[in-house]
Amino acid sequence: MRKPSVELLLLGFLSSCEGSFSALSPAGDKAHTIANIFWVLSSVGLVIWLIFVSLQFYIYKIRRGPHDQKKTQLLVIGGGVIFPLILITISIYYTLRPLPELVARAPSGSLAIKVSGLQWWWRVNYLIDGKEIELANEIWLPVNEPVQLYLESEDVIHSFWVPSLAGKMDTIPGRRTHLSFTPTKTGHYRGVCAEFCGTGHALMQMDVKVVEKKVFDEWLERQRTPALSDGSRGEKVFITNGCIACHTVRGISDIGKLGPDLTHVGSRHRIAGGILLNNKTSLRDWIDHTEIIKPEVKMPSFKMLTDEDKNHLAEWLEGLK
Amino acid sequence: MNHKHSLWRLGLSPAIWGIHFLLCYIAVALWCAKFPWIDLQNIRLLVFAFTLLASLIVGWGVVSGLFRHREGEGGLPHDDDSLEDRERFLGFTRFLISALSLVAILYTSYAIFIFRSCE
Amino acid sequence: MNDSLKRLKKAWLIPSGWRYWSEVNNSVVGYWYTVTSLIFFFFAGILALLIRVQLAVPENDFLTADQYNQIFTMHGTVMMFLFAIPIFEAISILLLPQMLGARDLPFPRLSAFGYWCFLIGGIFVCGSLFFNAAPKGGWFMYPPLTSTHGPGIGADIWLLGLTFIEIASIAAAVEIIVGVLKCRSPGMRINLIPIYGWYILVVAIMILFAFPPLLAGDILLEMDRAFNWPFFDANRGGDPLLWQHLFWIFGHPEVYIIFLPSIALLATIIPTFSRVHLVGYSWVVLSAVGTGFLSFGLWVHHMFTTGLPGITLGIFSAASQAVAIPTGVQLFCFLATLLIGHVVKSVPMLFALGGMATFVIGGLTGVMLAIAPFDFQAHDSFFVVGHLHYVLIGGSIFPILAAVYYYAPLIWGYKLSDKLGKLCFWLVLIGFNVTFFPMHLSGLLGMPRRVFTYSDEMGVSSLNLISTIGSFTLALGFLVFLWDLFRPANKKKPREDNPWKAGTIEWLTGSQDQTVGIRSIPIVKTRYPLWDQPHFLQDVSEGKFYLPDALEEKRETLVTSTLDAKLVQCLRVPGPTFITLYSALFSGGFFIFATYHWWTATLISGLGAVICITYWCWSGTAWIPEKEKKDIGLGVELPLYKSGPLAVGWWAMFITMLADITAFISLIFGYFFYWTINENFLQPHTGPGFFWPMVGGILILISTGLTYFGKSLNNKNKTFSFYLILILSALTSSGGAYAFIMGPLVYKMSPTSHVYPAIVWVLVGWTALHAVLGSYMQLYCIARRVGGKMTARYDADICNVSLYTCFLALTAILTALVVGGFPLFAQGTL
Repeated sequence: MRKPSVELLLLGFLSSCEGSFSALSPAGDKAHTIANIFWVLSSVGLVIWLIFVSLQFYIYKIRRGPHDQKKTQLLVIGGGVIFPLILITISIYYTLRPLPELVARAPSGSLAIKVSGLQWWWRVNYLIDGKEIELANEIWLPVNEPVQLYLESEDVIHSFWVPSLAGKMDTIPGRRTHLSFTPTKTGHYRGVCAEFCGTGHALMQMDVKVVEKKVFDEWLERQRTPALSDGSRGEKVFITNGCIACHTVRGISDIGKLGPDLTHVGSRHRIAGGILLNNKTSLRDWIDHTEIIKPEVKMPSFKMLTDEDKNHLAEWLEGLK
Repeated sequence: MNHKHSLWRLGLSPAIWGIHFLLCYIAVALWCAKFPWIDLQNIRLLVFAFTLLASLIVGWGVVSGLFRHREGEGGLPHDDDSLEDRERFLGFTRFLISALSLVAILYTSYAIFIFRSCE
Repeated sequence: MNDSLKRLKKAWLIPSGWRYWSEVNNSVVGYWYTVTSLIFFFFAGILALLIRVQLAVPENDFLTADQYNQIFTMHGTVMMFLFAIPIFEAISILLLPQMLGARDLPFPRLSAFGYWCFLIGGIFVCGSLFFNAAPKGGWFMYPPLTSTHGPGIGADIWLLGLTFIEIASIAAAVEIIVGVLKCRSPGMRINLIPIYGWYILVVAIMILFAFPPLLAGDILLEMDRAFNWPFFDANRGGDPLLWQHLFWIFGHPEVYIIFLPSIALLATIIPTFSRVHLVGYSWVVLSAVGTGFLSFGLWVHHMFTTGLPGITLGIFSAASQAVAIPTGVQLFCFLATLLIGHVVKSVPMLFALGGMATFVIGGLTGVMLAIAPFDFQAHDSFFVVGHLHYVLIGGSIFPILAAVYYYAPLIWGYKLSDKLGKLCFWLVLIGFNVTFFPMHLSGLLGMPRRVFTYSDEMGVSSLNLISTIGSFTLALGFLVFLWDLFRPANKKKPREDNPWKAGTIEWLTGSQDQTVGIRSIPIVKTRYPLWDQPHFLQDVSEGKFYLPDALEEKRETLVTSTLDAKLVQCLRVPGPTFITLYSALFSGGFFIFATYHWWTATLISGLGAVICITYWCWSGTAWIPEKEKKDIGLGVELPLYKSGPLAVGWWAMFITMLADITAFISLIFGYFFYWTINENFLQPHTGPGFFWPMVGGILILISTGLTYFGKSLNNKNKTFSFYLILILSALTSSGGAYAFIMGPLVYKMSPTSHVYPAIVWVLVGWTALHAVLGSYMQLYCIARRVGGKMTARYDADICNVSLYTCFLALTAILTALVVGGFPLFAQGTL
């Protein structure tokens, strides 16, 4: 059973912004399987409920006298026992069969990405030819190619969930969990943290872009290259004010490991853990008052910088394409 | 007619379901976490053995419950104020509970048999 | 009024003035309990409204993230632990004796103690919200967010406050089990007990096995927080998933612990309004028992996305769907009952039908969530929020509202308003559906749970606004309900006894004094005696059955046999006392002071609790009667004293120890869980060796043997040898405790270094504590004998203590085998 466009059904509920959160407009093989299961189950469920409620309505409002005892007992045995027994048996048969495939790993040699959950952002490491390319909060994937995600956590339990592509999987300290799927439609999808992880739980999101293989390769190549030092004022502000203690910008400084890698921060769609659209204003706002945008975030705000420094810094960061 | 401890016997079949369930769970958990080198066939054999044993015991509950339910004169709903009807009631209830346990045992085993690995 | 009734009333008189609070009778304590849990319900309901206001529009700043997290945590916690479970215990304490035809439950003081614990713990936990110190890790409290990453005392308040309340719940469970099995009216055979009794029995047994794993988890998590024992710290061998296992082994049965008692209310109400017997009594018993068992095989379906092997998911997915079968059966039995009867339209029926229709939606979405593939998407999204409220409100709140309207005449003597009742029903039904139905959709559109805000981009803004509007409609419905309860016109209504013309025996008490309960304890021969036994009401109220009198002016009820309810004993139950309140205050102090790490105060409180409870046992249990037997009417004489397996006290000990051993086994599960997930669990660590644990185990085993020997000496009236053997036994038991502690001590095992020493310490600590408690009980028996409270004939105390030592021996042997034997076994040297 295919569901062409839930968005149309729900009309106003979905605004026409970029990036879909919805599990009901699947763009990955596993999300498709699950959405199909959902439509079948909810249709059957609806029918059962209607039967039940009609029976209630009949009893309370329509019928006049009592019914025959023997016949009614058949209702208990038929409706209460046999019917559910058959239904549940079918359901177990039908819904467990796709399970092994849903939890299976991607074939070896597939694109592998390590994603770590932290309060409250995602560290992303592309594992290419035995090397790691570290990014943050944004994942690009080639369409129609399986991808294997290795999920880890560096503090508390989080859960990686990009509803349009696949179901969710927790990231647990001390464990490595696996999630694999094949994106089937190019587009821009949104992901969230689904396991409660503290104050900023609601503000921990990510962008996932599914693109053609060629575009993906170009993008990956660009992400792989270190940034070029241009000696600009913004770069100096970045280096001298301690930003490098937490943030790496490959080619400038790679000592900072606590915060997101900013080598190509300018190329990302959003900043601050996938919650602010990336532009100079929001970069400036973020530097100015992190604690307002994301309460209890580990990064302190840098109010003490002069306005000019902040502008230069934001401009420089935005330029790190 | 043995009238002793019939109430405990009501719990026997579901307890067997519980033990079967736990054994299956522990077997696969240990297999996956501690002894991944053991062959899938052996695990299946083990689960099959558990299931057979459990089904036999629970099946006995189904049959004996049914017999007890049919003993003597009275039919459902077994609400007479007599020793016999109380026994028939316990028998019928044991029959129902055992049947449910049997179904649940089979479901569990089915779930195990569709998997070929620990992924 | 004749003399016999006067004496009866005098025996059961409720103290007046401030002494009112010393009452322990079930009808009074049950009433307090019900009112208190309803107050907590409305408190948590207000929190829910705050949540809905915050989520009404995207990027709202009505609450800060921190406030929101405290509020949603408290909403869940209060609803679950301070309302849903207590309300079932409350209703049972209030009504169960009447339904069974007993004057009181077998351990009134235990109910009162449980109530005070609940009240103190509840106020403590709720109060934290007003000091901005409330727990904020969610009602599920997943570490490490609540351990290493959760500073503050919020989590401690949750852990210790709720541990305290859980103990009260277990106490109530003990009370209920013994009540249903042993305190029924004579003749009320197991196939004739009110269906409510069956459900409540199953639920109480479930509590015995569901709560202890959570208690074990609480202990581990609190040790992690307070003393840095690394149970949930992955860097030192711990694992956050153990908490999830323990929590959900409790948490899933808990859903049914909440749901079954409410369904039991429906099973009581529906036959009344159909004017026929419940159809499929046996089938409904199957539902209750089957659901009770199966619900213990579902816990992993809350962990489908934690990366467990698919094969494990499969097992639990299958079991989770199987539970739908027994759940469905009972609903169809209700429909069948209605079909063969003449349905009487009434407010309770509206709530019953509305509740069923609502619950079916929750049940169906429950089956969907049980299906692992679908759960991968829906888990931890708003879909689950919608689902669980359909289950809990449809399966629990609607039936409870139905029950309030149904039982109002029994409790207050008058019916509530039909008009307001209908208005309340429609507001609640519509408000509820408008609130929670859209949540299914917003969840699938990508809205995760427990978010304090969301962006407009998510596309769920309108759905959330609708939910918020619905929630206020729902709240309005509850306001109408409250108005209906409290409006002054109620007082002017005439008294009505059994206005619904029900057939079950709780309605016998309607016209009579509340605390006395039934005028005389009837002989029951059918499931609906008021309908089917001729002159029943008249005979009962004329005192023509048992115990119509209290010659000695003492509170008495009857104990009967489990299967056929044959008369066994006339049980003297204790009357009003403040000692239960003091015991609860000191126990509460113990937990509350521990939260703040005020160790001296904690210790003093703990000592106070021990003293109070000892005094309570000393003065209020195992009374030696002035005569062997007593005439209870109709020419029957019953013994006044029983000991061993025939005594209710023995059963209470047995049941309590079942819960205790379950908690212990949960800790053992923890040991093996760590062994399974750790590559190096045993290897780099040493201790506690083989020697000391074995010595401990053997000493405790000897102590158990000595206790039994002591018991037989007592029976033979060999006083001196009895003292000697029991002192020896107490010494051996304490020696065992000492040996257990020595194990890890001589190997200098540091519990903060790794999870292995930590779990070993917990196991030996648990065992040692129980052994010391065993010694204390043995000394108590000596004191009882010295004090003349125990004799060769009246030996209940030593019987119960020897039963305790059996469980103690089991604990000790398991501990010795696990901590002493298993390391050798795993390394192939044994």
